[in-house]
Amino acid sequence: MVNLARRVWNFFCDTDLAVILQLAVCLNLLVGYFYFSAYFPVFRPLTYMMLPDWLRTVALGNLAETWWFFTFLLFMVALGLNMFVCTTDKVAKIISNFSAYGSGLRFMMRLSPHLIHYAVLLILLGHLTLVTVGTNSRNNILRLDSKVSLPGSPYHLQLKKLEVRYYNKDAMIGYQGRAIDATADIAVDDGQGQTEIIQLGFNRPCWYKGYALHMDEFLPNSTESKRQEPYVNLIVRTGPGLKIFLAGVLLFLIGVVFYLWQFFPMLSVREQKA
Amino acid sequence: MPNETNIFYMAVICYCLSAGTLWLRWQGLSFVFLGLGLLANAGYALLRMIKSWPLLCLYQEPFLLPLGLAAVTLWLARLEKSIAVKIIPLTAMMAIIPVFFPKNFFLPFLKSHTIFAHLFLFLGVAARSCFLAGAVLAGAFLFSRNGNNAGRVRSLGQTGFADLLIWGYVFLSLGLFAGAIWSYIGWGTLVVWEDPLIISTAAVWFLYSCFLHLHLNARWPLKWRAGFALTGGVVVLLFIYWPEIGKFQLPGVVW
Amino acid sequence: MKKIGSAFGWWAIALSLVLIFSGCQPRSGGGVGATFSVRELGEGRKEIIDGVGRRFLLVPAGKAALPGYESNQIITIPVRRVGAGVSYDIGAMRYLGVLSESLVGVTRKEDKWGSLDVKAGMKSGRIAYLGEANAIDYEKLRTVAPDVMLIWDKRLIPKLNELKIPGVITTTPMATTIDERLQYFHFLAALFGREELAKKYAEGIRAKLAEVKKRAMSASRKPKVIWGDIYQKRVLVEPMNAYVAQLVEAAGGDYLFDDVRGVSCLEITLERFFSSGLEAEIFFTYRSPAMGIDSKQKLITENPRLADIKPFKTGLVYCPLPHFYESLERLDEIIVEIAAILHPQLYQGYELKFFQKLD
Repeated sequence: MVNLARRVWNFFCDTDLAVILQLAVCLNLLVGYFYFSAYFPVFRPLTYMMLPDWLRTVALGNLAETWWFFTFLLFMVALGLNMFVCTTDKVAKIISNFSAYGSGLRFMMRLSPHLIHYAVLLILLGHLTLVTVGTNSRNNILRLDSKVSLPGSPYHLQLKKLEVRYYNKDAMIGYQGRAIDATADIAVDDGQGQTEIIQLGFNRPCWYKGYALHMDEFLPNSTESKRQEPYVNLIVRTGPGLKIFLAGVLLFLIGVVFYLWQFFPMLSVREQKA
Repeated sequence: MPNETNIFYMAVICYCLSAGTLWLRWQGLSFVFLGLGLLANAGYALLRMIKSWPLLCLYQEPFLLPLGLAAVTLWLARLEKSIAVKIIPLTAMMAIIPVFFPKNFFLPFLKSHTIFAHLFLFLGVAARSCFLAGAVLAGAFLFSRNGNNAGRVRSLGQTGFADLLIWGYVFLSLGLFAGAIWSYIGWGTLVVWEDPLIISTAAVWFLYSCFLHLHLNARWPLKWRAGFALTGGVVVLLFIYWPEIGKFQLPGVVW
Repeated sequence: MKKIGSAFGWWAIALSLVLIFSGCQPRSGGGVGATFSVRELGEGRKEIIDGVGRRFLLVPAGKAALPGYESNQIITIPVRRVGAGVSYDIGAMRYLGVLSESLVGVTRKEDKWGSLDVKAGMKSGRIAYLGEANAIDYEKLRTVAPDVMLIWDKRLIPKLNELKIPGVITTTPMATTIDERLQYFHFLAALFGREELAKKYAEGIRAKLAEVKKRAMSASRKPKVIWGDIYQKRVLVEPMNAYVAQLVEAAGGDYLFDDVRGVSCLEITLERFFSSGLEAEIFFTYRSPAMGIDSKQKLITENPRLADIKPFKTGLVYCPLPHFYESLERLDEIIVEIAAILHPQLYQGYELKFFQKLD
């Protein structure tokens, strides 16, 4: 068993494999580009469906158009394993030689490419988690005169106020009088008599007790439709995917900063003097 | 407010004059026209942004790509003019194409009202500029006499393409992050499955990740890496640039 | 190094092959995704997804529902009483043979309908007027008590949920393709247990498309076509993924907005509209005689800029007749009519039924 584990580890601990897998993923995606362009109604539901649901219902029912997506997932699993094994192997060696680097900065500079690799893994994990764990609830219509339940919770939402900002300049021809922003006040009723007002805007989601609330649509959206009864269409998301993704982005940026540090001579000289 | 399309036409003329004077071996004048073209192109970009602010106009990338290429050229010219000038003909060509094949005829849409949309646009343009400029330099290296130089000391003409690709990769990565955040805040998902460009952009990211591994580990001879860079440029042109240009249309001067 | 070198070589060859064979793919809009899908769950139960991705469980009368669905997502089938507001829902119901027995309420006044059977039903009182789509009379709706409401406006959903009436959205955010239109028929048929008829309909449409395509091959050229209109401040067109654009292409036309993709009535710039308008030979407008449009001059009066495009100078202009949007069930006839408009020499003696030529 240990022998098998070691053989698998050694198989994945190969930079050549990384190159081959990245080329394979690239080619897979370029093939997928043509399929996506030709059959986009098949792939569009991925925006609002969770991945397992989409795979089970749409993808398996349209295998001739979606096969490339399955191979993409396989390649990504292999690439993820390869990245993890290669990086961990190298990081272990760097950490074990910590004393040879002389300074924490040199150590970080040496570690930086591997931080970037771990960051990419976190980013990919964030993507995967977002579409497999949690909820992706759409078409939650809020009006002034009715309450809607927050999916999977005791809370009820009701639109209290919608402020719409309209475009009133001349620069964009044909845009005069159209909405360019909206802010909604939403009452959250916990079902036990407590009500809290939260605010969210267009492209300004609100996070409330583990729920991410996004404004997808709203009315009125022009001065011509001002008299229409206001409504807001919310997207409700839960799950740890975004946090994992953002952690990956942060780690990536840290890795890049340390990696590029060595290319700035002034900083290197200062570090040598220190 | 002045019409930004006419300002773009002025940029195109300057870029073409830059290419023309370069062909006549008036290098200095070529850089002057390039600088003027860059200023006019930047003026176009600024005006377009101001007019549509806070929203974003779609398919602006082909109009901003010459700006990116000109900026890269002038930056490289500080180091070695003879290398930088190789990018000028590409800059002129990339400026002419959107004049006759524009696709920026959609009105801005409301969900572009966020700084992340603008970051996605500009970082994407910066990335493309670096990749295409890198491809040009790689091609120049491949087909030059220095291609066989296996010496340890590398000149800008030999490794410049790689540095550009590394910067392009950084810009592309940052652009993808900005795009993902934009997608999340607007649509509640990190990827919006509406435009096939997201797929080809991801493909290009993996392609250049591969290049980084080959280059930073020095796993391939320099000449092969240059060939890879040239191939990458072709992939960027076919799968990212081509979908962003529209049908043939005779340009009109707007009075 | 050699391993990677050969991998890259194979990769480049594979990419070249991909590029060569990419031309074999359909241009756009093929395939059907989750929208209007019907999934069998066993024992007669089905899961359907409406035009905006909302799920419903169809449960045969007398059977129990499955867990995981809220009460407003459960519809007992076959549906007996339907309220509808979208024109093409009416056409589909007519084809499925359920219009006269099932339609009990509509959200347009009698005089706004082109369909004689709907008018007659409203006159006789069998079909109730439920108020306009954006201002439904909920008391009347409570009285009429349909089993399901076919709607386009999402705003109605909360109120329908309060009344415990499932609201099924039968429009889509993007322009529907031909495949999605056929899938929609299948979706609607699932509510009434008329799937066989929907299958027959789809087969008929596909056969007619193939016939028209074959006939169009004998035409010497492809006429250039645009579909849209200019309103006061806006220019709206049908994108290339819209079924009408696909019908034009299938009928042997060259649809000039083939680089425009998106929603139906997609807004573009005036410059883009003109760049194709100056080239187009045939123009289909959205406006109909019911809006007072019965000549080119009337359209030009509405918007003088239209006079500059080629169809108004030397080409042809067509407008849809009022019942066009209510005639989805006659899509096979519409296909033939569009082909006849594009290639009159191939359809000698054809008389228009769904469009009117504007002189």
